[in-house]
Amino acid sequence: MARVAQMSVGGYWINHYKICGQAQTDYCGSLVGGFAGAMKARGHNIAVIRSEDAASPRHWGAWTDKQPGGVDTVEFAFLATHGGTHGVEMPGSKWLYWALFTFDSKDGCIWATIQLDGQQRPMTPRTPNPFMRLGEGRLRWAVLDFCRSLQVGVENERDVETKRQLAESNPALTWGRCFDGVHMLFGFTGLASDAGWTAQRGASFGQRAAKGEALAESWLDEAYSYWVDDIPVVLACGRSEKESAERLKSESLAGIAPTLHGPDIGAFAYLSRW
Amino acid sequence: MALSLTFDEMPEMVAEWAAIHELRVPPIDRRTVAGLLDRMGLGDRSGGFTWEKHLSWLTTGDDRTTVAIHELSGGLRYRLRPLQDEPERDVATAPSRLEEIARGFLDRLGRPNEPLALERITYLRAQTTARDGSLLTPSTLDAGLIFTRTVDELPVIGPGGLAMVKIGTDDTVVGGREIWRPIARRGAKVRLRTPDESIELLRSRLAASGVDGEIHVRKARQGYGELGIEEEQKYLEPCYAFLLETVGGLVDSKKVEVISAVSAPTTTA
Repeated sequence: MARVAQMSVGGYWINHYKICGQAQTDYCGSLVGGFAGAMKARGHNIAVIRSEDAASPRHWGAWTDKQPGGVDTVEFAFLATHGGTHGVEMPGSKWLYWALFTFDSKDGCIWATIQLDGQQRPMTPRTPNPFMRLGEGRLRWAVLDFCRSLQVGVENERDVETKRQLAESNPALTWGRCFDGVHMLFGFTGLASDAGWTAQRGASFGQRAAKGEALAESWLDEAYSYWVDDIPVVLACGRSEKESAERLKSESLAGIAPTLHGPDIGAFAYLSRW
Repeated sequence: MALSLTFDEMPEMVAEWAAIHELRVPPIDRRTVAGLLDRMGLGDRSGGFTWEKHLSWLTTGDDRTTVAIHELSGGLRYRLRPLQDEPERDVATAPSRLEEIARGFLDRLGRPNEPLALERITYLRAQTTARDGSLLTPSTLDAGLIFTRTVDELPVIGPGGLAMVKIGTDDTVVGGREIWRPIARRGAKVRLRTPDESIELLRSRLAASGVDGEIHVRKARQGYGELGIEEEQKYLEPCYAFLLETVGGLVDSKKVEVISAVSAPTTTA
C-alpha cells in the first residue's frame, strides 16, 4: 500500500442549538466522529475536536483560525453543521455568491466566506471582504458537510426561488477568495442529508483518505447517495486549469501536490456526479 | 409553530404482505478476492499486488488498482484505472451501449447473482474555472450506471441494494461498487402497515422529537431497506422511507425517516 504522510486532523460539529435557534441535527457528531476515528485508526493525529457550543466561528475566522482550536492549526478538517450558499445580483447581471454556516456559540451563530451584515447580506457587495483565509496556516483539506456548501448552479435543487438565486453559482465563485494554501474543499450541491442511512460517509471517506486513496474520488463515492439525493462536490485549486484538474483527479495523502497561496492560484476545478 | 407536512408524493402500498428475510454474507478471504481479480481481468497482474486487512476491509491492489471487500456487509468497491489516466475528455457512448457494457462486466464478475434493474446513469462531471470563477472547460470523465433490485415485488431502497459500474471515456470499466447482501433464508409473509398508518407514525415520531414548521416530503416509498457498505445487517425488512426537507430558510435541512412496515409479525400468509 502507498506510503501516507501523517496528518493532524480537526473536527467541528453541532447537533444541538440552545443559543442560536437552529433546528437540531442528529448525525453531525457521527459524521465527524466517524471521520476522526478512521483517520486515527491509521495513525493520524486527532489534534482538535470542538463540538456543540465549544465549536466557534472564531475557529474559522480569517484573523483567528490560527489560534488554539482553529481550523488553520490542523491539516485536515471536517465540519458538520447547517449551512448554505446565497447570492445577490449585482449591476451588469453579475452575481455575488457567499456560503454561510451555523454555530451555537457565545462567539456567534453564523460565519461566512465574506463579511455579512445583521440580515446576513453582504456588507460591501461591490468589494466583498473575505472573512475566511483557509490555508494561511496549516490547513490543506476541509470537508464542509452542510447543505449547499459547494453549490453548482441549480443542480439538486427543487425550490423555484432558490433556483433563481443559485442559477449562476459555482464553488469557485463562492469559495475562491478564501483559498490561501488549502488544496481542496469537499462538500455538496443541494441539500446534504442528516440521516442514519448516510451517517457512515464520514467514516467511509476517512478510511479511504487515511490510507492514501485519491481524495476527490473517495469523497464522491462515499458521500453520493442516489436514493437520498446527496450529490457531493470537490473543489481544487492550481496554478493553471490543467494543474487544478490534475490535483482534483489524483491528489491523495500518499501524493500531495504543492501548496499554493492566494497570488499563485491561477485556476480552479470541481468534480461532481449526477 | 405547528408541524405541517406537504407531500410531493404519497407512499403507495406496493405490497400488502411481505416477508422478513435473513441475510448472510459469505465468508470473505483471499481466495474470494483472487477469484474476483481473475474475473475482472487482473489475474496476470495480481501477483504483484499487496494485501491488507484493516478494520473490516480486505484490500488488495497496487498504485493503479484497488479492490476491497467489507467482511460485514460483503460490500465490494474497486478502481481498475486511475482517474488521471482517462484517455479522452468525455464519455460519448450511447446509454444503451453503456448498459450493455456494464451488464456484460457484471455477468463476467458473477455478482450480484440476481436480476438487475437499471436505476439511472450518472456522469462524473469535471469543470475548470479561471481564478475569478468564470467557467472554462467541462468534461465527463465516466458514466456510473446504478443497478438496483426488487425482492418479492418490493424495491430495495436505501444506501444499499445497488451495484454501480463506472465506465471510462474509452468504454472500459474503470471502477465500481456493490452493496447487495444475499438472502440466506426466506421468511414467512406478514401483513404490512398501510401508507396511512405509516404517515401517522411519521407524524408521531417527528412531533416526539420536537420537529415543527413546514416539512416537504420529497419521497415516500414502501420497500426493503438495505444499509450501507460499512454496516452489518442480518435481516432485510419491509419499511416505509420518507425523505424530508425544509425549504426557503437561511439554512435548510434534509432528513430520512424510516418506519417499519411490519405491524403484526404474528399474522402470516
